[in-house]
Amino acid sequence: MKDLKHLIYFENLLQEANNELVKKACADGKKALGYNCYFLPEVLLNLPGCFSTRLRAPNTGAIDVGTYYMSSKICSFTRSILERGIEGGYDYLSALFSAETCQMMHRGHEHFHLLNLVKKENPQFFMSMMDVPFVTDELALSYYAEQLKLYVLDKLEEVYGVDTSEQALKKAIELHNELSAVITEIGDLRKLDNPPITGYEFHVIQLVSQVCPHELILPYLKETLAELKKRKADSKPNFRVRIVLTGSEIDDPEFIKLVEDCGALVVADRFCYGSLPSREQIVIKDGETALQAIARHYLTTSKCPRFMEKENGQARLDYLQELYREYKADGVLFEQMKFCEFWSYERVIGTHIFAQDTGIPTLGIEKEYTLVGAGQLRTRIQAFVESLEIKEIQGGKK
Amino acid sequence: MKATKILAKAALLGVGAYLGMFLVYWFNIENKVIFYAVRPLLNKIYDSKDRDVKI
Amino acid sequence: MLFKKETCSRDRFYDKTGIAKHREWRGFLDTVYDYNQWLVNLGIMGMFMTKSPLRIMKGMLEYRWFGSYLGAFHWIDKCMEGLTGPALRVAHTQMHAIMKLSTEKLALMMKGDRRFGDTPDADKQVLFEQTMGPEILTGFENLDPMCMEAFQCLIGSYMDQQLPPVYIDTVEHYGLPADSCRLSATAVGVAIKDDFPLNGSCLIVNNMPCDSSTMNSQLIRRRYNIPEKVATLPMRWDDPNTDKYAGEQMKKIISFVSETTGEQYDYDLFLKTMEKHNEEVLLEREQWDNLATAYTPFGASICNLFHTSMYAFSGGTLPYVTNALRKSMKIAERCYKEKINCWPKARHRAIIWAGPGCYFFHFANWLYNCWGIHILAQMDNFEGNILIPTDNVEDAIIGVAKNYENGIMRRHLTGGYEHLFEFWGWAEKLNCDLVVMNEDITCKGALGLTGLVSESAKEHPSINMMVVQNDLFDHRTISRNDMRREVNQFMTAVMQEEPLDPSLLDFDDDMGW
Repeated sequence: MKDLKHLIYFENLLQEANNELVKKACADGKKALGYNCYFLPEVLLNLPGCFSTRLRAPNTGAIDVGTYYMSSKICSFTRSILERGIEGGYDYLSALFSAETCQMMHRGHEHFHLLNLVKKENPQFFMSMMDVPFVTDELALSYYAEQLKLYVLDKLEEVYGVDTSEQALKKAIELHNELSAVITEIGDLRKLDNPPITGYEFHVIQLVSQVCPHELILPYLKETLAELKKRKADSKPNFRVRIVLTGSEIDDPEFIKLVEDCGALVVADRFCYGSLPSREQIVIKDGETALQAIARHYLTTSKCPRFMEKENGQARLDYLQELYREYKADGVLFEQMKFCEFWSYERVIGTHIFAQDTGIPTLGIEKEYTLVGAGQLRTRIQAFVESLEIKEIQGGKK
Repeated sequence: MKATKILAKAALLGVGAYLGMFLVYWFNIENKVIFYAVRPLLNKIYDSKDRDVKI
Repeated sequence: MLFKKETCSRDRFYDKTGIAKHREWRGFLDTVYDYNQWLVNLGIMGMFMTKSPLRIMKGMLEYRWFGSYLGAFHWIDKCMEGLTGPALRVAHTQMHAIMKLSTEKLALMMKGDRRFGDTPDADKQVLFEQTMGPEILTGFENLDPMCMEAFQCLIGSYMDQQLPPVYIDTVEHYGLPADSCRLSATAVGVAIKDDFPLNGSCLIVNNMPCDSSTMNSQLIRRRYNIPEKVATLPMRWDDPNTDKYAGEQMKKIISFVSETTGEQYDYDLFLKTMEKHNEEVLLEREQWDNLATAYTPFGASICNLFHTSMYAFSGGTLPYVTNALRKSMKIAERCYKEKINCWPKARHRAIIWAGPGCYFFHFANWLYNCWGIHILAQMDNFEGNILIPTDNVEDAIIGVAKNYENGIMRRHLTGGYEHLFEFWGWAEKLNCDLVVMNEDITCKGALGLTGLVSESAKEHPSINMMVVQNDLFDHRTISRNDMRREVNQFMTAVMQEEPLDPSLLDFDDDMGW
């Protein structure tokens, strides 16, 4: 396939957290608001005068200092974020929003406060930590909305005088929906039999949409969508099987590349930092305020394993099955960041219960944040690809 | 007289039991029996049970 | 040698199994006292058997974890090692209460186990997951709260270190990594192996205390075919803005249980029981004051277990627990008055913090006997002792939620870093010169602050901190002896001390209970 015009530019934007567009927005006087978890609605961080930037630690090497503070038994993603924070890699931030949704990330973020990170560069920098419910009933919904108001909106208004009015929220939703529509349209191309986009390319696009100021990245995304609509896929597909990739935190396109190099096209990205979910339209229902709509949207679209109701667990598996069908996948790859409690259980559920109930082939893998042990991963994924091919030859395909 | 005899016998029995039990206590007999005889037997029973092992 | 004065020397034990050749000689009076208490414990066991002989026997033959309870007497001995005088008396007093409540609950569990045939007793029980006390269910006069995992996992592992690995291996066979919390893994293993009794009319699923227990519930509940309700408590529990929501979760439990069982909730009874809960808490707080003195009889292993048992099973419902607290306090007051040194071998006063190696439950006794470290309290002692307002129902319900949020493994490991660091305050308050910091290698809540915990020691030069690793339930990863070696190394290299009993330094008890 012909190279995408902006792909290299996008790849470069992912080389550091404080990238060209982030710098530009900061230079324009905008407040960079960092976050890590889906439960911190990106849309709320894109109010007038602010922009959201989901934290990554690209090109992570040694994480000795992060390991010193958190021990080697904490997920390497958290340690890498902390390490980068200590190195000053997030000194451009005006605030860091967090939730005690995962104990490790929560502890990682606490270090920003305890070690007085960023504050030296920006004395106004603050951290805000909120609580997120484990269920999705009406009570939880109003509680979540209240937490968002207290620990996101009120803080922004109090410290930076940000306009958090209903109009401002509606405007932020509009921008969010515009960007999401573009990403969704691009993502939908993966449903085609011979998609004009690879999983790697899509992941790069999805990531830049999360780490860069929306207003600045949107024109590039629109242009890329137009280009993709015209792009012709190779006549002979260069993949052997199609897979849904699900799991914990994945913000490294190189991992997707590794999977695809093994012959498995990643057609659906159901993981933290992925687009499924995250790029759905936020709809304000009749009688709802913008904040209520946002709370409902994020609480009900999230497919995080921490939701405890039986129905939530089943809905997660149903969603995967739906993606499997819709994206014409051959199997599901369950990824788990090493030491992640949530996904270690979800991987067991996926590779046993989901596989048994649906008959869909699955593979479970455990990985570190950086691509160490890539050889081992490659071998396992290659074997999975081969097993899927054999299954197809033997007529076991859906 | 008879009652005294019965009482004395009961007391003697009680003291005997108390002292006898002390030997069980002191030589840790109950734990030795359980550890070396009962528990291995129980383990065999548990291992032989046909459990519905499933996730 | 029969009545030779022992100093807990290892000669008294068989190698590797740790089974004692004979019991400990503590001096004439204390040995006779210990023997009498052994008889009392035998009596408690006998009473237990009479409650439902057939079902209890069936349970013994059915459940592997139940078999581990045969190690109870051995376990009691381990927890009493080296204790004499008032310390021994307090330990036995509290142990009797523990024995009573655990055998009562076990008997109830067996009576309600549908595996041994349908029984109306099963429907009288409401199951709830670990680290949630019974308080919120105390308004249901005819229902018995039944904590699910405590018997199969926690107490089982205390008594028999060989038990959890059986269940851990089962779940790891399905791909759960070995770095996941061992307690949660064990509980799932019990479920996979179909080793939970089939009792209860309904089940309360919760997110207590942490991420792994949030997840293990999702597998455990698959084994239960009874109505369930998820009631979750905020992680940011220290924030008053979360109180109302926490209270609502408690109300959700009440209405769910009421609807499922048809039982009415008696709010007056609830408030009265909360008053008794408060009585327990106040007595415990008195105990804390006594701990700060040089004459306290409290310490080593039992006091900690007494508190956790009280939290998990009593919540104001068991009068003999309150009585045991009162009796212990009476002994403590006498010691203070008469200036009795209850820990004659003590060279250090210490507290233990963070997640313990449950398979080395008597670690505190070993520390005392080998190195003269008197463990005054452990982290769990300071969890789940919230006074619940009893003026009105609304506040009482929020108070119960607060007590759970401050519960075992919850208070210090969630809701903000400051809670984990509370150990310095306690160490100072209790006049300690040493903190034994457990490093449970799977506990993310504590591990996440490893560096700062170490650094904080610099701010407290008068208190030493010793870090000891454990794997919570799995002695195969870090054995008891590995833990001992870590302590030995610290005590010789850093503290430059000689052991009180060199035979206790390094020995193998890996094959034992």
